[in-house]
Amino acid sequence: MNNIDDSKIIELYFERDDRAIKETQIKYGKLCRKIAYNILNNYEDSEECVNDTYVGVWNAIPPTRPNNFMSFVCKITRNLSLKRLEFMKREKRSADVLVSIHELEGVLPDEKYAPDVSDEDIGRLISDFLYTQKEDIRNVFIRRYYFFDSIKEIAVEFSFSESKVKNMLFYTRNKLKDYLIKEGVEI
Amino acid sequence: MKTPRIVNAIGHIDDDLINSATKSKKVAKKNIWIKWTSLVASFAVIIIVAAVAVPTLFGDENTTLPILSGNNTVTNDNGSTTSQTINQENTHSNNVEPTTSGGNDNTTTAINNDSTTQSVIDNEAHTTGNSNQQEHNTQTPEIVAPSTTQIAEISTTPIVEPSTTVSTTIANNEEQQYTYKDVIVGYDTAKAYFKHPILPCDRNDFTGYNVLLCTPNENNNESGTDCLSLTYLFTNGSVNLRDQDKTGKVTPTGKQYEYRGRTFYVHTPEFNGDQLRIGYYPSGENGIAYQAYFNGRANINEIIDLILSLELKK
Repeated sequence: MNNIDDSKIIELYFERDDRAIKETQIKYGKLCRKIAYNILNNYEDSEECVNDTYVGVWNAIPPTRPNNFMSFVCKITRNLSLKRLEFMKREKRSADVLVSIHELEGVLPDEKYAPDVSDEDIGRLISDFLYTQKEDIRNVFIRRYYFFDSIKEIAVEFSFSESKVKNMLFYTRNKLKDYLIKEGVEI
Repeated sequence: MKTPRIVNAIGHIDDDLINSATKSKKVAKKNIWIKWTSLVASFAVIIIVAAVAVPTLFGDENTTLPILSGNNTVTNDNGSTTSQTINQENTHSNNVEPTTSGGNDNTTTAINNDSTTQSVIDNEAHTTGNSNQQEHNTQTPEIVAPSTTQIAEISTTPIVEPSTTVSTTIANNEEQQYTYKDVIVGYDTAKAYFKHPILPCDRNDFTGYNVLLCTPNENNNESGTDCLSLTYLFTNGSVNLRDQDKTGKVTPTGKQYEYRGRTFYVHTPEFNGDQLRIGYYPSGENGIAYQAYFNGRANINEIIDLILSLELKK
């Protein structure tokens, strides 16, 4: 099946054409379900999140015209899934995603945020930091903390051993922490 | 549960980073078998090259007397049949280690040296069955030049033992056989046999002249006898003058050593079984090749001076 270009899908949204959601589902449905499942660890919840994603995209476009439609969709799915995770019962949460969140929290705890620093600012700094890293390290970091892939999945995907992936993440977190301190966003 | 802010903050990273992570391709894992196989292959190549190169670099000359190849039987002067390993040059009489097996009639003698081109002279099956006939074929008393007094003169030296004077019958092919004999002789006899104007030696540690005689088996007289080499024997070693026109060329091996404007080839003791070996080939592949074998503690320059003092005058 040939996927249509993202720009055409966006045009369909602008035209308020129902095919826009269908094309989005065809092209990015699998990816969205994967992100949602990684965070929620539940098929029904993740399916609901994905459907909410389509609704969110439909509501956001227009007026928004995303430069990168894929990451735009992924962000919405991720945010919705994380929000849903907050309301899930403790026993239903995935241990793996909780570990990832806990690891990230160690880099910059909420209470150590410098005043007047927004999440967007931190996001920009993290981007700057990641651009200084090797491509492998950068991608492993994003797969783990953006897409919440498991260590095992990342190891298979990149043909690394699990211990190597853990080590890479450990050193990258430490370097990121040092970087954020240096940039003055952690007090 | 409240989501930490940094988790949300990562949601704001650049789109390009996200794109890159989703499109990251699987890294082709290096096949460990390829790695190890290539390593083992490399090692094997090194071993093979070393096996070929090391004997060439550090071993003895790879030349052999053509007539020394093939199955050989040995008969001692006393008529006993022997099985031997004989040095191609038959000049290292000091390395002879006779051992006796069986009765008086059957003696096994191993003449050992460090040469890589030893001729293994066989063998009991060869020697026991036809011993009487071989004794008859190999006993050529008329070409044995040394008198008993000459042998007696050198028999007290540590290098030469009387039992090293052997005659060797070699079956090169069915038609041709040669008899070899190491003989200790005096200066005049050596000069006559070697047919070169050799110089006498009057050093204190000089013990005698040794000539390697070769004669076709059919020629039971001195006229058919060739002298392949002459060896000056010393207390701690020997200097061998080899007639390359008769024995074939000697391939120079060892480390080149320049001395008095000439080139010598030295095998130092650590590579040559605690023996210092110096080769000198003034006329290349023809003429006389000079080879000195001395105790490893000997001084190289002194040995070279000795060789030069014995060099034939042109």
